[in-house]
Amino acid sequence: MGGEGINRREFVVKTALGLITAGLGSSPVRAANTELGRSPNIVYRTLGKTKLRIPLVSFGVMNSDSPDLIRKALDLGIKHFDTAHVYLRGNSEKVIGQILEERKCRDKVYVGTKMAFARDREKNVFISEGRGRSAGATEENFNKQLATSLERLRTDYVDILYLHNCQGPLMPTYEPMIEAFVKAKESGKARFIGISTHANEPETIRAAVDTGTWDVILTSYNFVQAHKEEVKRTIQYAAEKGVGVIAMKTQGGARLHRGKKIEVNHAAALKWVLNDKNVCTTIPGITTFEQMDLDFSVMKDLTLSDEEKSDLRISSMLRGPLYCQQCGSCILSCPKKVEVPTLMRAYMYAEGYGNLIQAELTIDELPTEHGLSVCQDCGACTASCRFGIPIRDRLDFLVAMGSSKHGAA
Amino acid sequence: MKRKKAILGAIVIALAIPLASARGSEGIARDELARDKEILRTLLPKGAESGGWKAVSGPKFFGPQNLWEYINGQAEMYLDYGFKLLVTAEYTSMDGSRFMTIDIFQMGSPNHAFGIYAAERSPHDRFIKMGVQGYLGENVLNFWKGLYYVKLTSFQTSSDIEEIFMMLAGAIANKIKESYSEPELFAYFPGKNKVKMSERFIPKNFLGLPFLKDVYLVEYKNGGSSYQVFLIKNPSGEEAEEAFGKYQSFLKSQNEKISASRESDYQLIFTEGEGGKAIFQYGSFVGGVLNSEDLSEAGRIIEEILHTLRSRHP
Repeated sequence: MGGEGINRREFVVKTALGLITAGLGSSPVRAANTELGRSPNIVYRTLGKTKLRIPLVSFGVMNSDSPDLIRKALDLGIKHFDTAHVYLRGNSEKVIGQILEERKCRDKVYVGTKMAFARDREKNVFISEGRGRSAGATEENFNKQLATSLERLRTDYVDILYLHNCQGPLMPTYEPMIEAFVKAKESGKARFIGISTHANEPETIRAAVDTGTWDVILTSYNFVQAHKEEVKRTIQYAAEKGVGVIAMKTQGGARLHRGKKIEVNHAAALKWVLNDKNVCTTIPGITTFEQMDLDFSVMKDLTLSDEEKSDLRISSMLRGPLYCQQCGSCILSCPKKVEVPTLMRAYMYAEGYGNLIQAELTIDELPTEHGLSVCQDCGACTASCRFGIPIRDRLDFLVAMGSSKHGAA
Repeated sequence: MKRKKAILGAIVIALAIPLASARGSEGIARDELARDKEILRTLLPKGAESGGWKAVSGPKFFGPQNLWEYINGQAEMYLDYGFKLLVTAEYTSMDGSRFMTIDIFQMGSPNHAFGIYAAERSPHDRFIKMGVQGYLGENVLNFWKGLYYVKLTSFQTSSDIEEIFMMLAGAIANKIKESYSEPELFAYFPGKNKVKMSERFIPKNFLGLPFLKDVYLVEYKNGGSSYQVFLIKNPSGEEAEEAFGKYQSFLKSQNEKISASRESDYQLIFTEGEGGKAIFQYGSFVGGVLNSEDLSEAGRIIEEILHTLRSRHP
């Protein structure tokens, strides 16, 4: 490799640079402007009493920290960005802050983030002591988290501040958290406050609404939920009380994609949710430009075509009957307090996905005293499901699966 | 009759072979899972190595299909980084007054383990020598080594918490045998203006584009401006050319004005405006400079990378 060769290559690079400077230097053209011109019709709805006007499709920045995707979202007209204090240990918030500062558009968009705190997982209540991966639910920890999030987001306020992952009615009614959130709102660090929920949604939403404190509910809501009608009614209840509703997990959540590789018609799933007029916007987790275009394009026409309806029906049939809502109410009907929801999940993996390994893995999660071996020795199952899942049959199936496994060994 | 039997036999064999092979692969997967679980279980600190701290709950295992139950909205990102298995256990101090959670994530490869570790670190963290690399925060010690991304979390702070973090993390790191280092492709990046600890490995959808995979990315800072340099080693020159072509088409579809040139052993494109880019393809490599305010600097960086590539991959 002689020096001459390198010089020639340097020359080529420099020539290319020269061309570009001559051709583009005076009028840099942003793809953004043209892209905006090609954008589909943007449809807005009002987020309850907050009066925020938000396009039907927003951006859930939990699966990507790509600055280019956020830039593209802004170019398309996406106005609302949803993140959380814990996503990527704060790097999700940081990239949003970086791009909003770069584009100088903080006052033109809405940012929502979430504060997570320790909880007792069995009782679904917040606890003041730090446990697991979360800090204790105290005002001091709240203030610390909020200050850090604002710094990462490079802003002095967020538009919606959520209490993250409320899994039952005792969580959105937890007084120390309500007080901390209200103070944040009064101080202007949060324009509006809300809760997020993806378990026991109906009870949780109703309890949150009844406090009269929370402005926004962020809830899972999708076409495969067995209790979707109940969620729908509760969303209506919230809307009637002026509480804004944002939907998440509109595609059915991560579980839908990773099991039997059931392809979900993304656009159809989004439309299904948005056909509920009480939902203001959705926050699909977007990882590619193509997906963003597809999701954003649903605003053009929310009508579900026959083909889309059929796609949803097929996905729903494949998933629906297997889908335990993980509400945990069945545990009370079992005298031995077996962790039935976990075992129903194991059944779903085994029977629904044909994945015995994952089923075994799930069964192994449980401590012996609340696991499948208790059912094996009991034989008089009284556990019942409010959504009609035949618990006894499914436990029998799992027990038999275990026996055949041991027999084979 | 003989013919009928022969056909029937052929059908039975045709059905039996895939069934047997499916059962075989199921068996292999089951064995692998049992082995992986055992390894993860072994990595958790026990007895003397845990300095009096003992497990009070767990170990619990989570796989790709139920990781969302443990880390919720973040699960998808971990799955994109090739997540395979997680073991989590809660430990308590000897007097039962303090708790610590230990999570060990087994990822698809050391690159993936580095990738997810790097996605969650920040150049401002306090870095330590733990495994290949780790850092200490107010409530955490995270590190990676080999296939594993390890997180220790405690919210009961005390003066000796760092010491305890180091002891337990050290016990885990020591049990991960063999030596590992950062992905070797980072050695191809220029040193000037590089932001320390900004290296990333992104397995999928780099820049929101599915054809840009397994990307090595580094942040640079020159005065007040930042830019990024990336490099991809594709399986073959043809695939590199295809990815380069697709990226060029994508930029055109976004109405970016592109200037292109082709040399004997590489091709190059430039764009200008917000987020100026300089992208090259050389053999099986695709790389470039992103968000450059100074295209001549971008050209210089590319020359330097090409020089390194030519010397190592002539």
